[in-house]
Amino acid sequence: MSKTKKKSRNKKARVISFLLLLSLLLLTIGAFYVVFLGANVLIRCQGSRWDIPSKVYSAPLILYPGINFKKTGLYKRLENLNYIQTKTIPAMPGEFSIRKGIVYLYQRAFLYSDGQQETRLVKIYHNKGIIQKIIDTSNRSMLGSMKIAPVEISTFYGEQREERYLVVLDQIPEDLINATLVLEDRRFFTHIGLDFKGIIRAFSKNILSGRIREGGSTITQQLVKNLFLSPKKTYWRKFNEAIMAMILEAYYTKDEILEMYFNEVYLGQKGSVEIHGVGEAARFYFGRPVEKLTLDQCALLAGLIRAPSHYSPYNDAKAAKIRRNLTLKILFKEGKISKKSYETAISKAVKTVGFVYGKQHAPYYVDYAIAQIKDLYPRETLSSIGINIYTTLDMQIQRWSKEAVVNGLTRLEKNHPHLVDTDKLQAAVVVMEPSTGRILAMVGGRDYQKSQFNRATQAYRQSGSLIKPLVYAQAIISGYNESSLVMDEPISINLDDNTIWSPSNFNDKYFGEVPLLKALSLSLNSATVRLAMNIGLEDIYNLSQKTGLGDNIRPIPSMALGSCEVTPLEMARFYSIFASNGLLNLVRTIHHLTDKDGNQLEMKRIRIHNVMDPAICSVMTNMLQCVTAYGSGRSLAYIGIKDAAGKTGTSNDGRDAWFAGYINGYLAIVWVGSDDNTPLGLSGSEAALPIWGEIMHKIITCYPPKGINIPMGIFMKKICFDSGGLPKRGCPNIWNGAFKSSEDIQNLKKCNIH
Amino acid sequence: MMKKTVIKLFYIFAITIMILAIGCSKRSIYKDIPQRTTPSYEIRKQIHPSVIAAEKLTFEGKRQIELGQIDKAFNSLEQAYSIDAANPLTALYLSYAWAAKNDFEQALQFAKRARWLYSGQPEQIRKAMHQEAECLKKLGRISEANDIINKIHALGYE
Repeated sequence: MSKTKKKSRNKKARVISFLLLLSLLLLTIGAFYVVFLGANVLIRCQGSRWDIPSKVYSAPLILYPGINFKKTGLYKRLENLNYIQTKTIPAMPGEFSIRKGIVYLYQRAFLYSDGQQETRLVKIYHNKGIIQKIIDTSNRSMLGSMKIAPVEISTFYGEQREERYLVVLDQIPEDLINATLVLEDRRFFTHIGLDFKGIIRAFSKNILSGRIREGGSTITQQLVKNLFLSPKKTYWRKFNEAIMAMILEAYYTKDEILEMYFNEVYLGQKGSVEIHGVGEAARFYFGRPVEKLTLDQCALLAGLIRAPSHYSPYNDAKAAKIRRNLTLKILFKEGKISKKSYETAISKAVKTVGFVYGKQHAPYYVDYAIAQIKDLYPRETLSSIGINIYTTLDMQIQRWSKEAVVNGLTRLEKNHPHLVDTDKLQAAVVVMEPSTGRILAMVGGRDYQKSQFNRATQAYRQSGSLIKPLVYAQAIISGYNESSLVMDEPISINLDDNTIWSPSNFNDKYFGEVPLLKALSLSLNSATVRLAMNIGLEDIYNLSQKTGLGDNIRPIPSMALGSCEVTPLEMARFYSIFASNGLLNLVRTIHHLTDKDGNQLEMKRIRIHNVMDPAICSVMTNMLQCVTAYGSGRSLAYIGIKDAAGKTGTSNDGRDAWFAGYINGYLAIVWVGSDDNTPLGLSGSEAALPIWGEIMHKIITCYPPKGINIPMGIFMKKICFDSGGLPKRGCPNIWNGAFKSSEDIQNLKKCNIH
Repeated sequence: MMKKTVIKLFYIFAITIMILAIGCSKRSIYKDIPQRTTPSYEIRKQIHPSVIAAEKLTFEGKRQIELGQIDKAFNSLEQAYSIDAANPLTALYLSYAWAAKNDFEQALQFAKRARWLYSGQPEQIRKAMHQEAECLKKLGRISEANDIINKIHALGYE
């Protein structure tokens, strides 16, 4: 008996010990699990809480007297910046009105490299779109110039494709906080992360319905769910959520949790991009910073939290209004707003700013800009570090360039139906400010969606006659002048490999003895090669290295006719030397970079390098102006462009058609061809020049000259285009030539042809 | 009466001939001696009012340099340079700004630019050349600096 008792006692003791051990084990595992969850919470919340996509911006639009603001895209820019046009004089930042002769613009505050531009009302006086003066009404001062904020042109999203504009709690209006709390978590400031009353209510509802219908989640739980857990509705997830919410409450203050929540909460969809946080939502729906939201807008945003897609004013304005009014009613009933405020807010219509999704501005330009900073900020990090990249892109010139490419290629295909079949016709454009090296616009191909290969920066193509100014510049340096004579007749040259090279003129037409001016203007191959051989290939090669033409050039006779391969961007840089009167500047697309809080990370200042005597450049500009007056570029006159300096280029069999030119301090280069080097039979003047003309015509009619095109330090004298001599009465083409020295002019003889 | 009128007409004819002769002789002087092109600020201002906008920004940059606000000065001067790259004063003050940042190579490049843009204005050229010489000295290129200074003396600018 006693043995049996003893046995059963032992058995009980063993069971109790087992249970104790098991409980201990479970407690230990539980403790470890809580520690694990806690660590997760803390690691995420202490570091960088969110991946912030980096953004790329255009240059600001700078307005000053003389500029045609209508055509330079002021209204388009204001539209991109979500400005609202009013009928009366603007009363709030973000509004503008147009009256006869005056544009009233209430500028929003924005940050740029020269500091914070505060809100201000300006009056822009104009005459048919040309700005006469700009007045800042706050102090009645006349402004020399003013900036209109840059426009976002690209965003680098991570895998989650979230857009978020971080704000601090102090920026969030009280109405928005109140509205959110009354709708989502009334007892937020009193609970410990879990609202037991809410849980019991939700639990009973779920039991009755037989499935999980309601969560009874607090704001802390919602935050935990969004930050750490899946949206799947299971009891295990709810358990984890509860534990993590309590951990969060233990480590952070209520204000910190609320701030995190307002930055995390999901508030809608812009195409495939998720809008997170009230900072971004305020901009997305209302086009203004969160601190500027009105009561009705706060109510609408708070109402969205429950079902952003359903209540989105972009999807269903009626549902959005009903939800907003309900929120306002609750706020009023809770005593959070006065009756007057309630009545005013409820009477307002639901207004949104609208958005454009998926429209990529200047994708080739953005790719090139990002490549320029890839050593400091690799592309793969841009989706998380949230830097702001301010570029030198001129939105309006970019638009014009893109349009001109589309128009030009369509026109060519219409005139040459065989080109439609090949579907290979491509083009590239670079527009540049030669005095600074800033790239204002770039088109790298016909359609970025089909091909991301950037022909402006990556396509090495034969330059054809576009390279000839290199030879003529070296000739001027060596003591030749515009009137110096060179023989234009068939030429044969023995090459190093014992072969004979015999370049010929276009259509095999030769002119005999011609001045350099005519040889360049008519792009005479024989005369150019003979000139190159006379002045020395080594000297020309050395100049090519000095002018940044790179490694693809070799000192061989065919160099003079552009056998070397160059990119459009390299050619733009080369021509920028003449256009800027001697400067070889670094090509720049980046203006400056800031971190996500607006602190400046890097500033790309204008750096110049004097590489050529300005007088030589002025002579070259004069000769290139003759190209568009009497030479291969004369068709520019038909589209109303005079005094442009430019040069056409065509490679063998019309594989590459080029036009490079500059006027009024703007330089553009156009290439047309096919990616697989198919002979297209197109010339530079037929294919590339019209595109160039379309872009430049718009630029020179809308933008004031930058004052660089004025010839300086040279001597001007009228000469006969055909003979290079002093003109007689019978000379048909008289050119106002440019000379480096007065002796050159004194040595001129009378025209011996006419 | 008739005689007086004839005499009057003769005088008018003679004076007209003299004026025409003087005009022609002046034209021929200009024809024989080529003039170097030196467009001044006044000429450029007439070309476009944007020159004035750039000038305002340049003076703002000048003031900021004097106050030691170099970064702000850069912003004003770069904007001015972008609007009107042919203003020598902008180039000169950009040179001063780079020198204040101890980047004497860039300061030298802008001083060279200013010197060239000042073409035809000896007093201003002297300023730009002095700045060039200063930059060269800072870069340790003493002999080049001395050459510039000698050139200033040789040209009689000082």
